[in-house]
Amino acid sequence: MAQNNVEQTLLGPIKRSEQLIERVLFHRRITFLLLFLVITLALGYQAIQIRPDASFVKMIPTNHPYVQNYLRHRDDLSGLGNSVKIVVQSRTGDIFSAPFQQVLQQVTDEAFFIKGVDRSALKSIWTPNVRWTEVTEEGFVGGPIIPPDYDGSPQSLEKVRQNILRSGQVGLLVANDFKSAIVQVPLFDRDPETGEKLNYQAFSQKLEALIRDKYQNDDIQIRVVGFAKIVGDLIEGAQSVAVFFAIAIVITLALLFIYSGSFAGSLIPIICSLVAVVWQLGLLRWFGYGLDPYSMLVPFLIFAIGVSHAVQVVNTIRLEQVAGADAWLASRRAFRAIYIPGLTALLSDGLGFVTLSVIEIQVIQDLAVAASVGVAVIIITNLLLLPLLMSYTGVGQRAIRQAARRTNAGQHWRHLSVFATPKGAAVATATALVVLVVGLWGSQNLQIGDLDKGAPELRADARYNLDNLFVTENYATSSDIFVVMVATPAEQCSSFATLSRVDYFQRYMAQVEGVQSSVSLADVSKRVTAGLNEGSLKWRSVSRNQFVINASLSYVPAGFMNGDCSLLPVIIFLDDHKAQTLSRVSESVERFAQQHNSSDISFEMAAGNSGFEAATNEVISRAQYEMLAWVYGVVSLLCLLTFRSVRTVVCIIAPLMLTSILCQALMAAMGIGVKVATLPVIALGVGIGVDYGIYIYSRLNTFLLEGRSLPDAYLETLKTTGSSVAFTGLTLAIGVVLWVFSPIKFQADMGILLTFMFLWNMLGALILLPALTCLLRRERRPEGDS
Amino acid sequence: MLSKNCLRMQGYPLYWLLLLLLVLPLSSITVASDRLEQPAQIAIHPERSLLLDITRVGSRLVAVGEQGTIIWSDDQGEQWQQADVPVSVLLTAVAFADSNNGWAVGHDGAILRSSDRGETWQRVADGNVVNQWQVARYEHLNAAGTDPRTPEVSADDFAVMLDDALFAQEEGATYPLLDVFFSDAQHGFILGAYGLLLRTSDGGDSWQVDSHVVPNIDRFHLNSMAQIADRLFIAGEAGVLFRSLDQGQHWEALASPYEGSFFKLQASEQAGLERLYVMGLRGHLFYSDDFGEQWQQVLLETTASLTAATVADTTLLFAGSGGFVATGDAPDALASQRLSSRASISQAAAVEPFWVLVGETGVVRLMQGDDSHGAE
Repeated sequence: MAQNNVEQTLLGPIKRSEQLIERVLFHRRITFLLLFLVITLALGYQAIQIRPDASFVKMIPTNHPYVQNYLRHRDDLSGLGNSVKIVVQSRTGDIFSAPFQQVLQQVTDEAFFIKGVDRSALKSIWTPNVRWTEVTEEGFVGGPIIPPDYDGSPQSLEKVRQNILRSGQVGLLVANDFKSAIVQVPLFDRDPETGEKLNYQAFSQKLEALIRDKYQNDDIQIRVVGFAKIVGDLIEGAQSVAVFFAIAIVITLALLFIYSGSFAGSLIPIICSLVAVVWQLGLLRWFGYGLDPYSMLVPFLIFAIGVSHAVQVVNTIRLEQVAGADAWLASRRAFRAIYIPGLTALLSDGLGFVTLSVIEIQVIQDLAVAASVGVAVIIITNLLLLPLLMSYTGVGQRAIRQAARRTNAGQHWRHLSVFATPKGAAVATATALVVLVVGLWGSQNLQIGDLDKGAPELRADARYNLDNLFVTENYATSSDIFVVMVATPAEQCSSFATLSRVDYFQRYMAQVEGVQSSVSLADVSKRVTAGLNEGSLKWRSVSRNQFVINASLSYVPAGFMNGDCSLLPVIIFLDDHKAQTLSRVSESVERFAQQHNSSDISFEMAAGNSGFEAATNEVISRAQYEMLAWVYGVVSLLCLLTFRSVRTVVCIIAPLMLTSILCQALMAAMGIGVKVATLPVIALGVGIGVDYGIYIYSRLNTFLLEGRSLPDAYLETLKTTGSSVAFTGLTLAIGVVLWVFSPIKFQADMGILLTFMFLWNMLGALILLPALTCLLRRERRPEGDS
Repeated sequence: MLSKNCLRMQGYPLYWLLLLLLVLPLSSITVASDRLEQPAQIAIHPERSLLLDITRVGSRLVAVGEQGTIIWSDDQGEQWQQADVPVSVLLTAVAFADSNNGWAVGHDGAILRSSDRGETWQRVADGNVVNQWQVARYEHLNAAGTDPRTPEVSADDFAVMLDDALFAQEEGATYPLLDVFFSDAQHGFILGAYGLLLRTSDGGDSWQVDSHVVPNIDRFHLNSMAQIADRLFIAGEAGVLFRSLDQGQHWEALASPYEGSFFKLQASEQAGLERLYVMGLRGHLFYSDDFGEQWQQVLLETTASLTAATVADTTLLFAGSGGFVATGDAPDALASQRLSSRASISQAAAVEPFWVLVGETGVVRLMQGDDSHGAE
């Protein structure tokens, strides 16, 4: 049979390797232990040097045409985007008081000296580049907002008020209600002198230390918004999850001890799993990776997966010791029993993670690498090192007595084994079908993308999002920005033809639902042209006279055009960043571009946070089914190779599919969209969830081969493996459930979903797997046939 | 609408197929690229566009503004309909010659007319046509050497005017038109930048270039026109004021009380008193009770440019930049306020019981006799 050939070529080496490794490992224990020690020390040295890292480009799909367009024009767009706004808010009155103005001046000065700030473009009402202008009989007059003779007196504050009103900065640098003012701080992505990349974390910490901590008091509230601040908060928040890691270790240790009753059997799994984490981090660092807020979660997963496999090993060793073997022999037998299902399970975990690479977003691919490396490491630490260590200690007499009692009792499993009888199986399957229908119905409402306001990475009530809400409520700006790049031949970006077309485009976009407003070089030209004509609104148009246009653009604020005038961005402000809004906007731009693009002008998408999100959504909605197909394909193939039976594959995979669908329904119900953070969850959930099925089925198969009836074999399986599977589900859930408390929204979302998947997959394996096995084995035939 | 409904009855697949057939050739056609050729885009909220002028025709309000936007309302400005307009230039002014025939003018020399109370508009001329008119007119006058209406204008002057007209023609349709005014159904005027004046005496069927008739040697922009007791007035840039006693046959310059620009003229008739207001830069407002011979200044506590004025019964309204609005029964009894939005107002109309203002952010309605609307 062809299947047998495949199986021979693929599984043969694994089987042969088992015998070889077993022999070498258990006869050269000291050598191997020393080897493990050396490797651990070396990789540990690497691991402690790993640094948090959050690169903006990594979080967006760099192969998507939108992002490609952006990357092509990136240098020309540098004047846009990357800036932070520091809001100085008066808690007690308005901004027209001497103490407030003093603070505002000091904050402006402090910001000026922070490393990474583009000082020439820094703006507040205290900087000389912000001016008021007015049309008089003699023409334009103007000056700085703060009069040169400012002395904090009521008279000079009144002058400040007048100057603000005629500067047009209300809603921009001064809040609509005059209770706060903004210091706009543009940043260099790279230091122009040293060429060094902006260190977001350091910058964010400086902002906190030099501005928020220093000036915030009972009278003054400081708020900071901007991409650099989001990244800073993300890195900081991600680091706080380290505490969760410690908590997870302690809880797992306690549970392990309660479960096994053995000190060695609790400590050694924890140690081996920690060794796996150390190796994983060390290897990542060695390969040149950093820890971004996504891959930061991988150590949790690795630890949890490690523990869950360790539990299987320890459990088997204990059973062998109960049966009378000594520690060495029990460990060796456990190794033999666990090696193949363990390896299969871990390989399917790892391959499940690798399938994440089909999503062309760097952070997800990095996550795939980190998780696959971690799983590969577990094969060594928990399938090799663990039995080796256990061969010295065994599980201890107490644990053996406890286990013996439990095996004899084991009555509580009888309830579960009912699902392996035809009646129970029918009920379980019927229930599963009902749940499936509910799940399918519920998952109809599953949305793509982020659904909440503000920075979606952070929680709605995070300080950053409260600050952001304050700014959007009190200033005339939206934080959802979609940038269309209009490319022209050199020196043509300000031609009448270009600007009038852009003007037309902006009016076109204004009719798209979800678009609030837009701004471009055309607006600059229109406003200045009106200004040059005594401020008359009747002149607020792109002039057909090129000389008038050129005069109107003698001073252009940064970011409205590039150096050789071949690119002008149109900045579109949106109501929100829901997926429908984004796709509506990008479809509208696409339609306009199709009609209007020529060799003289082309409308290209997209930059701005919403532009990238639109690209990300497209990639994700396309990748989601592709990824599911891959992960299920790979996992099914592995099961097929291991168990050589399509029926078995169905029995193992069907419960996982049910969980995946329920997970989608849960996401829809909780308002969690399919996004960069949640897309990997299903692959992780399936990859890890298949372990239960593999362990249970391989044990069940052993008993069936002994000639027992299905309910009987299943009861035996439950007695031996069932408890450790249940325990595994629990440890995995504990590893991830704490993420729910992460200050980072997507970590919390991942936590909820992974916990759900781990627990449901466990239930599926314990209930649905035997039920399906029972139904699919309708006629009872000797196992030898297969 | 009809064809769409018919198609829908055929069932969806056919409907989509037909739609596809309709759309496919369209998408490959390059769209007219010049804003004088592009029809105005239909907006979801056209009343929130930049609007520059508003007028009444009967009980209907008609307003014009950015990118060819023309809107009308038959319910005091509550709901607005957008008209079909064949251009998408910034329209600066609108006026009705009678209860059906309307005129709108704007940038790039666009001149539009409507014969259905403002619902559909046709293009009459654009800047290129206006340039041809100018060249033809001054070629003729240059050849003749004199215009009997303006004996003071010399042959040399006409030579210069011809040169300017030829230069403008070379430059293209760059001149904005700034106001349109009809003194009756037959007689109308269009005012423009750089001293352009057009006149019709046949209800707009033909237009005559009359720029040289106005003693405006510096060619200041002509911004606004008004009529009071058969006398016509023009106000413009740098405080220029002109008067015609014979329906535009001849124009004379008036002594101006102000050297800054005027944006708006407004006639009012209260208790038999015929009064003319003129207003402009930095809160300057004057009135004359003797047809422009003498002017009294109204002192307003504002530096806002005044661009809008209207009268309802006995109440006056003046408005302008930065959301400045002043109302009252007499020039010395004006109460001023600022719209909280601070949006600049360009023009205003009165329709019981509202003031309907238009400007930077579109239509703003204020209740007449209430000084506190959205104001500080």
